[in-house]
Amino acid sequence: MRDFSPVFPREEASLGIYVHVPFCRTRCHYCAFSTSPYDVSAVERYITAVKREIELWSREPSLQELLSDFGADTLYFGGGTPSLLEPRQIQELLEACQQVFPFARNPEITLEINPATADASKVRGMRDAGLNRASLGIQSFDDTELAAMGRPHTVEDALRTFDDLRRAGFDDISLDLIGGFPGQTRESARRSLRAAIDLGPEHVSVYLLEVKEGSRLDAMIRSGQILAPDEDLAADIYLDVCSSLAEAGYAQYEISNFAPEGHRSKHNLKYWRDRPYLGLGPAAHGMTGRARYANAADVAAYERNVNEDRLPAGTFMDFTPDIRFREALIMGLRLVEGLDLVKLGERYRVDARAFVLETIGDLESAGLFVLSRDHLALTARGRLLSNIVFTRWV
Amino acid sequence: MDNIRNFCIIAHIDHGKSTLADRLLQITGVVGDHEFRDQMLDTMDIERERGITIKSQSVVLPYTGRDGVQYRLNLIDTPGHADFSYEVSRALVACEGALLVIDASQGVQAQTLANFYMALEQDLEIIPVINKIDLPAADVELVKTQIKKDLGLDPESAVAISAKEGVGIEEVLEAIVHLVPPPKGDPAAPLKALIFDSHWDPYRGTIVNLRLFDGEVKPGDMIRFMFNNASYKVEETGVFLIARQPRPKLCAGEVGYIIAGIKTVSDTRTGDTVTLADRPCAEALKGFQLVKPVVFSSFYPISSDDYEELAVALEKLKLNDASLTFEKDHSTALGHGFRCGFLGLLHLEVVQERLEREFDLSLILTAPSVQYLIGFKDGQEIIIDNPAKYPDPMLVAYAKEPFIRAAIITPEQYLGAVITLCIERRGVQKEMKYLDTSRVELVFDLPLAEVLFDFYDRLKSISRGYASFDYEFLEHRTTDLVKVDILVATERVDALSMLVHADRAYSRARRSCERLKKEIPRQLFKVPIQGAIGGKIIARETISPLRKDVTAKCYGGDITRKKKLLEKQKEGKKRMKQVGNVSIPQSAFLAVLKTDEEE
Ligand SMILES: Nc1nc2c(ncn2[C@@H]2O[C@H](COP(=O)(O)OP(=O)(O)O)[C@@H](O)[C@H]2O)c(=O)[nH]1
Ligand code: SF4
Repeated sequence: MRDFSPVFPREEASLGIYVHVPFCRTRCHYCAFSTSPYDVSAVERYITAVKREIELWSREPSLQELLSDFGADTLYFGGGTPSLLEPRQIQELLEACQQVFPFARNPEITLEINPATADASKVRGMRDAGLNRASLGIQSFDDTELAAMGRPHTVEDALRTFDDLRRAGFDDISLDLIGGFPGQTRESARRSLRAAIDLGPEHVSVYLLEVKEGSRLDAMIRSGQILAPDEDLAADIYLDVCSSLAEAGYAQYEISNFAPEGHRSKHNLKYWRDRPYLGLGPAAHGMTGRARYANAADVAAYERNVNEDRLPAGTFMDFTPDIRFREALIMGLRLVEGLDLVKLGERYRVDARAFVLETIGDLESAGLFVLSRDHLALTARGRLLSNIVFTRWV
Repeated sequence: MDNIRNFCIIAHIDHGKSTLADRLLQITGVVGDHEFRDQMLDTMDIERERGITIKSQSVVLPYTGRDGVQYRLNLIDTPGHADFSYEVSRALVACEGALLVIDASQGVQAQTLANFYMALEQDLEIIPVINKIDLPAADVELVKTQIKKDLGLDPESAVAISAKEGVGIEEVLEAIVHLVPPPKGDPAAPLKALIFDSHWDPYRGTIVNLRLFDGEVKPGDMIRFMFNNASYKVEETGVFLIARQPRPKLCAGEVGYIIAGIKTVSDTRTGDTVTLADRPCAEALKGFQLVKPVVFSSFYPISSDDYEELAVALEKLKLNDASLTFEKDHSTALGHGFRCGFLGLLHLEVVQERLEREFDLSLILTAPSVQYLIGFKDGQEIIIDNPAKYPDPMLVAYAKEPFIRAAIITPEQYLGAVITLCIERRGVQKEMKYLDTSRVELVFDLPLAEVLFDFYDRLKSISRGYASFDYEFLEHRTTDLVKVDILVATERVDALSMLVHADRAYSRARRSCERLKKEIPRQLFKVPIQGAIGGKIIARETISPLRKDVTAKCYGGDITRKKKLLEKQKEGKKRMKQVGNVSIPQSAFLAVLKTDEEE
């Protein structure tokens, strides 16, 4: 499970590192994540535990081998709400990573920020700590919609945080928006998008709403408190988003992600490009090249593990070449550029084209993808219906 | 023989028949207080949940009377639903007396009457038992007046009890001992015994429940079933004390079982007479009928891999249920399955539930159909129960459908509603008479197909449960029959075809299309759903194409969650039937069967 050794298949890529920060002040209605309420002493314990986990990883020879050849080049603080942490705490984690993982020059270091969780001085502190990319969870530029989503901030809060980020020198900012939330209209979605473009961020993510089992939203829909989202409307909104962003210079490069060349998320690309990454912190996921693992999601269980000198992976799944090949297809096709089937086939010693024809050939007439001799990519329609294609590969 | 009493309990639903039976078992020590409620007479879960008894069974209650005499009281349980009225009547034949349980807070109700008449017809001694006297709303005096007026029984013979609290149970036992006559019969005459139930035991073969009228039977005897002359050698005789208790022999007047290595369940038919092979009785008991299925439906496994399993499961059910019939069937849309015949819709539902629950099968059912008689222009006649077998209409000269004669007793205030219902169902009124100032008996001839579906439920609901209903088969009568086909994405789905009266064709087609539209998930392309008679489209709905099915985000590289969702989606797809290009879920087939009221 901990084996990062490069024998199968050969990895020739730098490592990405993801640090999960599981705290939130309140819970958004659409969220089904395991998050913990924010409290000062819990955060201190958490910092100590993650530092121990980093220490434990430093003793893994296969990881060290991979790192000594290729190093790490991205670090991503995600959540939860990492911006609830103090800059000093982020810095502590960052330094602990730097001590153990040799970073390439100019690594991409991202922090997810929720509006109204960091003021100007905190944002400056984060910048000083070494963060160079910010992902701001605005979700909507409409206060009524934000309230309906259970987001604990207003549009004004978001604008202020964006401003603070710019002032602090962040020149690589991504904005997150949600499309297809109940109550949203094509018009209101357009307005939010316009407002986002007007701010001039370097990167935009638009996530179509998923009603997750166990979320408050799910319960509200089941009890009839609110109407289930209209899927056709969501599709319209999505298509609007793609064309407006393209016009504004944000080329779509993944199902939910838009940015001009040079501003794509290096870290997230690792997920889509079948590259290994290390996940640290409770509920974090990692991929070693030979296996996937998930750390214990429960903060207490996570801490118990590391305090007893055990890596806290609760579940893991060993790859077979076939499983990894299928995952590479599923993840890779999310990218607009698609997949080089020849390379992929060589990597996993399969006839990738034949496999594709056999498993999804019948869908070709539906216009979900284009398949040439050595290349496969989803069409715009195919991206909206990508699960139809992907279910063929699980 | 003088110390034997054979009796049954009859009641309107929920008046306390099962509770009283429990108490009788308990007080006579047949079941201990601890095992109470787990054992009981009817053992199938489904019966439990639905509050019905399908397979009648018997149990011996040993009882020492106040007179110091030891009695053997045979309690014979009876099925409680109209689908099984023949079984009820056979079970009653096995008794000399009946406890008629009446809820003290509800009084005489429709099924009280229907059951009362049936018991009267069999010449049973009827003991009214007024139950639930512990309830604040209990009105024993009023119920006594009804017993006198409605039933013409002596109210003084009624026993007032609370089955729940165990009050008056001994009085019930005393009443049985004193009022129910002991069985008559000649122990020296040739064996004459009635089969009132049978069930299958995997180790012993068929266990036959009998009531002996004359003669005796013991292990080693050669017995004969009179309807088909099949002979068997008796291996064991005994009685039921919940569990089987072997006895050296059974004599005239007794109730018990025989085991005779019987492997073919069709040899043992409820109502048949058993006698000795070498010393047969002169004639069989009267009233035997071969119960024939009246409603037919095809069962298909959702996964065609389960076909073999379905075959095995049906075989097993058949062992306990001689009235279930099935034969191989094939549908272009659904593959291999079975055409099954049932006594009624409840019987169908029970079989379906048992297949799904006990055998873990997922099934698709086709719309239930009655048997039609089709006459060809060349003079030939055929019987069909399957829309798929309906011939080219050009060749058909006439069609006939089965009619029943229904007797309905209703309080006067619901008369209008009941008549309206019968006329809606294409009924023809034959008779109407006042039983007294407040109750009316109606006789209607009705097409069986109209009665099968939700007639009984409707009747109950419009009369607040007061109308009772009984029917007998009449004949096949000429009808205006059409076959309605359903096309999904322009392909005819044979399993959705139905035979209906021409007047009903449009509304049935429209309703089916609407329901299918609701149940079939959107597909990659537009899917028209049409109802048609021959080449003529009579109803149409359209399912617009699916536009969005996408997972937006993988939090922190959590691909596992995404894969799980995809797997779930794929599993869901497996539970659908692929018809042409369209995936149709099981729920869509079921939705088409539903009646209006269930909407
Ligand atoms: N209060 C009261 N309830 C009773 C009595 N006997 C039966 N019940 C209840 O009436 C309901 C129906 O009884 P059950 O024996 O299942 O009726 P069945 O449908 O005739 O078999 C159950 O909830 C019983 O608990 C009684 O003597 N007193
Ligand atoms: S901020 Fe994210 S993790 Fe926290 S509650 Fe909202 S959606 Fe869930």
